[in-house]
Amino acid sequence: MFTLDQLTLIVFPFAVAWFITLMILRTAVVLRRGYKTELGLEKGSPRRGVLYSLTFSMLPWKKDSVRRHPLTYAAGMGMHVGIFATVFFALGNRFWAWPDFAIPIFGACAGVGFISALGLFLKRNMMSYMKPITNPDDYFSNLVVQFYLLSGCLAAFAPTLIGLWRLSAIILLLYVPLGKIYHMLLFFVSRILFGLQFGRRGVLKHDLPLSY
Amino acid sequence: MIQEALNTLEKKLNLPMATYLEACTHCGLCAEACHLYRADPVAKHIPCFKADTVRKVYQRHFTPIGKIFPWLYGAHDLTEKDLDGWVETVFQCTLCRRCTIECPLGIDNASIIATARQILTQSGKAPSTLAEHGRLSCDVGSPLGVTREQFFDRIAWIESELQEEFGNDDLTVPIDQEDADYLFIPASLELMKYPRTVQACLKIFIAAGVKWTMSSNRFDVTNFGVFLGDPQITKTIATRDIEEAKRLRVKILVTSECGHAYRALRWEAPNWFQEELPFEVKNVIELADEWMAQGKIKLDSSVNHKSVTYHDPCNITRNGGVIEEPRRLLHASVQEFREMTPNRERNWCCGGGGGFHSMPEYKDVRLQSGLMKANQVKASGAKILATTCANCQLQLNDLNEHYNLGVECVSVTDLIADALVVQRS
Repeated sequence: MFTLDQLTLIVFPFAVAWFITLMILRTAVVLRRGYKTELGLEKGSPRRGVLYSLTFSMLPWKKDSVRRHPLTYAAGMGMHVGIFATVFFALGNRFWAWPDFAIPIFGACAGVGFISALGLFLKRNMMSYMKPITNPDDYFSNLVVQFYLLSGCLAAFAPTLIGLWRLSAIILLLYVPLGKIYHMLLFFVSRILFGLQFGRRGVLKHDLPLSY
Repeated sequence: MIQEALNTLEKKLNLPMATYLEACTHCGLCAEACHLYRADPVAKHIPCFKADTVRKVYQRHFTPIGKIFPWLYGAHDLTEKDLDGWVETVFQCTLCRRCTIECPLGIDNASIIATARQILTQSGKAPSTLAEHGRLSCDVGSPLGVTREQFFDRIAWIESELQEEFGNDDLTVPIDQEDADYLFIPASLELMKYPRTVQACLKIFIAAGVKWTMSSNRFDVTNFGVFLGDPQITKTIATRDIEEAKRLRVKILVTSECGHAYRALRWEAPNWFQEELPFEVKNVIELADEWMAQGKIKLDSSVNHKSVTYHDPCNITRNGGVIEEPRRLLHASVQEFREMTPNRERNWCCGGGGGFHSMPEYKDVRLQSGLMKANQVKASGAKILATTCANCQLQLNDLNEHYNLGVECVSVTDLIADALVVQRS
């Protein structure tokens, strides 16, 4: 009989292979659609637009939605910080040994991420306006992330649960190319397209006084 | 009909469209970015809900995972009943793209909604009055059915007014002058409802002392194909403007204060035809700003002493990039200028765009959707509400009455024309 730890160690490379293969295939399907550079005389700089789109335009005080929903913004940030921190931890772990003091920090990040993801899940269920824009993928994606972050948090403080965390990572890797978490790649494409167009038209001007 | 709709969608699936359709996380932050939703918080006004109409069809028919697991995305086969259900959802949108600015991913919901409109128009399901205006644009050259005789009548009247203003009985409005530097094309809405604005534009041209002309073939710059999402109508109308500018060999085609026409000719037309236009396209406000900087026109702000606030038209500002020009002109033309908040690219849409005015069946929704704008105007405390889009002006006038705002709605060129220092003969 295999333990969970042994079993997940065996399955993990296959999950990684699945993840990479499907991500490439899905991205290829999107990219083959083709892109034509916009024509017409530039009024602003597309390059500056992209730079601004990927940086300053994401700042909380640049978004009306943040002013109206600071908790949602905080939860979104918390969840993403948790994910990135744990992925960074796991990747780093392959190449070097993290110092002892770092592990609880990553664990805490995962904990914050879990609470944030849970909060967003509750919001999706409790706010009436979220129901019509929710489909099964929205629930699955959130639950998969919640499981990954919770098990990551627990494993940071109870190393015997590392197999459970690996299992959650396997599920995450299997699901990402299928569901909306795939936006992790398209986020950049979408922001770049946004910056190209609005930058070209001279709409994005970060040196102007704030609009609010 | 269904197969035709799917073919249309497939043709529109370039990288940006596929990205926008795949990247949405349904976070819901776009909801409160929309003036329609803020005024009436129901699902059909949530931008990503509107975009989901097309998204679910895309996932079902064009993505491998959606074909295998459609239930995962709530995706389904497209039916005629679906199309009927789309009509209200996608035509009750002003395509203002405020949701794009607020979206964490920068998803352009308006381009998806425009695709849905194209599918509905092809299926004969577009609102009838809007479709009729599109037909008139193509067949007569003007959605209001303005004829050449009416155009000449209007210009003759404006000409006599200008003669009086400049104290010059020999002053004429140049029509069909070849090799002029500028070809000015107004909107039929301005000609018929806001002739004072056309007069103001012409006064600015005359005061600047430039070589300009109008056209007896193209006297309406509006393009209702944009609202219908109909590429055939859109290109037909744009081609007429482009060919006329080529025929007259002008250097710059100048659109009047018509938001969608400027956006269409300035930013979209080169992409539709996949070639650079052999002339520049500018808005009359951009030119006035240039001429003011060059000293060709001089403005005296003392004549406009009432407080003025400015409504940024979505197609001029957020989608057109003409942002500081009207502000510089207003600062020079009026004694007291007050900004609304938020403003510039985050400005609230007035609710008059996207062809809303040509869909009388949605009049109540249109007026209701102006709530955020009405609140902005009230908060500014200004006496005069200026804008640079005739369509917005029409809506702002309606909001003024509906919400009892107590302001005077004018175009920016009206204020500039009043402030112009004129050399009388």
